[in-house]
Amino acid sequence: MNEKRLALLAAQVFLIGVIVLDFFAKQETINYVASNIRMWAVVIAAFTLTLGAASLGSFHVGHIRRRTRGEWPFSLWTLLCIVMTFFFGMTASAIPQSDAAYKYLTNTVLNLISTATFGITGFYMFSLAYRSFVGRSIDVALFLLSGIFVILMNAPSGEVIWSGFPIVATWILDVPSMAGTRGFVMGVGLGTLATVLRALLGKEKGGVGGGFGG
Amino acid sequence: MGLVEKMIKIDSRWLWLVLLLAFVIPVLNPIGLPIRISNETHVLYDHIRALPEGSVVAFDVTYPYAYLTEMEPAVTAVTAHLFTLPVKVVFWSLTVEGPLVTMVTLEKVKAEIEKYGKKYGEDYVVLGYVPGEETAMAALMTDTQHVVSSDYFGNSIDTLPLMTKVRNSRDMRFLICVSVLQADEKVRQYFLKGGLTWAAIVTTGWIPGYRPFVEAKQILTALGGLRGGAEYETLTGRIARGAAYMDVMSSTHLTTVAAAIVANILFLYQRGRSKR
Repeated sequence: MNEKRLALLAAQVFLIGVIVLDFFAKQETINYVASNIRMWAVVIAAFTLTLGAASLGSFHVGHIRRRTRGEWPFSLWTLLCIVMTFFFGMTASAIPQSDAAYKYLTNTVLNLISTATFGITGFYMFSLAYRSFVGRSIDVALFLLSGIFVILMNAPSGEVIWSGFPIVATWILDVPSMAGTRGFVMGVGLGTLATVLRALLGKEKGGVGGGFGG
Repeated sequence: MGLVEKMIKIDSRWLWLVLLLAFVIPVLNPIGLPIRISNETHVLYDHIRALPEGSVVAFDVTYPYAYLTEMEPAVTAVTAHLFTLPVKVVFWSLTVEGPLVTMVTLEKVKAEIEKYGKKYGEDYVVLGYVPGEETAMAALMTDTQHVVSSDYFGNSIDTLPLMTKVRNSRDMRFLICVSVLQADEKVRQYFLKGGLTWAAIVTTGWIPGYRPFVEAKQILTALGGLRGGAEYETLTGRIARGAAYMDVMSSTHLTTVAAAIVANILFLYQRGRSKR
């Protein structure tokens, strides 16, 4: 490993070490340093947004310059939308018309497009329920039954049909479902702990260009 | 091709039409079925109602526009309830769209803001988007005043009287987090690091993922999406979109269950016939 990577690795171990220590120690210096590290992280995260916008812009400008077939008109439209939203957003507090335009773009265009796109998944789920929710084996039959109980627990009509639906569904959520989720959560926790330990011991070199898992 | 085969291989567009009707009919003819209030909603309602005067409630509104229909009724119902009480509210968001959906909610609770004389900067503040996800949560818990230099409207934090009192999580009494993702990082930062009592408003699909943390008392309670919103509206008596959508939820859920039952009957019939 070259010196540059070694320095980066040492910095990574130091930063993670301070953040982990800060979680457990009530020591003024450690808390102060950790607090500053977190501030840097927030600033860097904000900067990555700018980087993302620049990268998106250069990608689409490339398509427009090369007149990529079937791509460039969409790239032009994307860039226009970005510039328009950026302009109205930045001038919203100074120009009332910009504020109105920005509100229109977000509340009428973005809101409806996002909600409609997400809503379409409901139709696919419905046809999926018809085509795949079939009890071909015991496992699928159990899955189907628990699905029906939980679906009918959420809908007020379920309780009107049979008052036992919420009771059975709550049991499903509290016992088998919770047991599975607990196992999953503990697995994730142990995995995170292992990753932090590896990072603290300098074995996690992915972040400094050493490849995944070093 | 027989009727059973035709039904099994039915064009998806017919199924979508059935679902569309299940959406439209209850909108045109609302039934207004009674809504049972779950224990989870009661817990949140009682906790908010018991908050001492002057308490600072942090409200992390982190969900995108795509989830507006499912999440907004609960967020609005809880916000409206908070504005009827003598408490202060600090809103922040950990996604770019968060401040926009916060503004949608604030527009809807204008009546409460006016009726109870809530003043921006003194009774509530919108900090806006704080980048960094889990790091941002940690920073908000330890250095709330320094994480953001200005609020969503561009006002300097120093000019907002409420923010001069909120230095870190010790100055907050309660936190409500609206999320469409897992609970782990919120438990780590809001509960373990910040030491806050907090409640979650999540999509119905995430409820099983939050329940173990509620059981372990690391989350006070978790309200499930649209249904949670309808229950909270019923409790506060401020009936709005959540309760209105319950009929649609009933009909679409029942139609989905009916579709699954029909599919199973067809499957069993076809299997019986092929065995013969």
